[in-house]
Amino acid sequence: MTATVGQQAQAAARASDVWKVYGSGEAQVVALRGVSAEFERGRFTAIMGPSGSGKSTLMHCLAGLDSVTRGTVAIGETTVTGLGDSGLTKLRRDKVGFIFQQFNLLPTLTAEENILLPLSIAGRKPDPAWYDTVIDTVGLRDRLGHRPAQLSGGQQQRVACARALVSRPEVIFADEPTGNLDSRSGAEVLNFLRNSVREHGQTIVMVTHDPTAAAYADRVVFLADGEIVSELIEPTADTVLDTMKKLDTPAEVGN
Amino acid sequence: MFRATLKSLLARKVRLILSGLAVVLGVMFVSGAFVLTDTLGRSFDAVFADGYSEVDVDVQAKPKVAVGEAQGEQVPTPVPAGAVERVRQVSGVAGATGLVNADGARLVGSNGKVVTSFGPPQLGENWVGESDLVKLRQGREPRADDEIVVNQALADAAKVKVGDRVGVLTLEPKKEFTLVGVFGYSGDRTSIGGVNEVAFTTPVAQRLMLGAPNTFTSISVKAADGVRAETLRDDVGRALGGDYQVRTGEQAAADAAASLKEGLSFFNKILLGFAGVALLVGTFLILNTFSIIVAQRTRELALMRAIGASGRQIIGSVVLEAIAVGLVARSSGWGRASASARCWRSCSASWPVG
Repeated sequence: MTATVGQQAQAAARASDVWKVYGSGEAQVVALRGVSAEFERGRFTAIMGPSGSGKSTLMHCLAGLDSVTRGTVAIGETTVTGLGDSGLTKLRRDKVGFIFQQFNLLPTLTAEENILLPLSIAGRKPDPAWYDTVIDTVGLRDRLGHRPAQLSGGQQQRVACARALVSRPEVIFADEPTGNLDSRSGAEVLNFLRNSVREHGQTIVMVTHDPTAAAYADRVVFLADGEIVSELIEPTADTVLDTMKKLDTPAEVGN
Repeated sequence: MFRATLKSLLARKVRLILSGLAVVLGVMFVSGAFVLTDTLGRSFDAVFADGYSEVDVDVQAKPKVAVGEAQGEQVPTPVPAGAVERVRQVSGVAGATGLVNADGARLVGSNGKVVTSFGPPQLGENWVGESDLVKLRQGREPRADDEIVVNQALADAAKVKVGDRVGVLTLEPKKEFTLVGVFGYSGDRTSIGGVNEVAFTTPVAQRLMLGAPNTFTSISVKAADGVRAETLRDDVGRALGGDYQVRTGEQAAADAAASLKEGLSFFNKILLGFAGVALLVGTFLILNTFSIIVAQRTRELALMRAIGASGRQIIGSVVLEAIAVGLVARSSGWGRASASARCWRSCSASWPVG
């Protein structure tokens, strides 16, 4: 099944008939089987599926962190498939932001230095107005001089979000961003991600296995066994949960 | 990027200690070897410059076989007593003294044991009187065949005093002498560079140190007033003929220092050999620690890559870390090396008499 193309404008990220195969011979594992999907600009899309369904693999391939075995991946107008090392570096600097489950802040840098790290690596200066907007949105103005160890998990994840947002990438990929957070901090982060889509037109693709988290998205794409099997527009936690239950019993999917 | 690298470097000082230590040790060995041999070389220069300060022209017989310091002791060719007379006849010569001067006069101390030396020679010589450099501090000069004088350092080491009967080992079996005097040097020194000296009367010195009567090791020539040492050297050389090596005091000092330094450079090579081994081992240690450090930083480096660092920037940050460790450890190693070389030298200066 192919996910439907969104109504507005072109896609921020696109996968066309993507296959990903690990290993060879008997140890061969097919993680993705001809996945085609588009992720519309200015929308918040969640990728869901049971463990081993290939959702993380799909995200890694989309983001250029992993190569695809067959098919093509594009971000904006850039075709990711076949890009060389310097092309991928440029892509990560300009078009892609990441939010990880483990926050992945540098422990030796302050919150502010962590937020500005991608820009300083690229040798750029932040746009002051946008930087202020981001800091105010994540609500960290009084915590900028703190080290990650002095911040709570939710605050650390908000720093990581600000780091992804500050360079205004084409797409932000979030890999289980609430997986390490309690429900309140998780809700904070998800609200904040949704607001950045609604208010600033940011595009976000989030991998999650938590139906409550997926309910914050505008659209949910379901993966099972390396294939897209279903999707929901304007999901709620209940509809997501129902769909997930069906996926857990593969025999019923065919009916 | 640069700042992030430095900060992460400073935050993890402990992980750098091991690799830093390896660099410190290697640098210590190499620079310590150089500093030590260089300071030793300088002090030998000073010793010989002093020793020849009283000599305007020095005459020695040409050696029959040329031998380097590293290969063994030069076999001295004796100068016959007649040569001294011939030098005295040369115009411009104020005085010519035949000197006997050879390594291998070992004094038996008051405890019945031979005084040993850790390097500087133990010279046996003939007493040729006091000079600006050499002064008797106690007693008198040796007059009879069984009388000797020694320098202050040797007297202190052997714990002997004027009037004692002391034994001396030379080319001949142990002989008993009466110590009749103790001498020192200008500037209140007890020895020149830790050299022990035993001075006999001339005939005894010739027999014991050279094994042949009426011969000398060298002739020390004093120029008359207004005669330049170089002119006198040429005149004396003409008078004696080709069998003699005639040098000004300065030349002789430089030659003696050079031949010792040849031995010193051999010593330096041995030390550098050790340093090389230390560095080789150190290289593996450094390599190993660095690969551990990089492995530990894999997460951090991967994150850097994910947020847009190029491969070159990552390599740069690792190289920067290596350079920082190298610089810090190098200066620390160099400081330690010069400190320990200085310590070694001051210790060894007090050993020869121990």
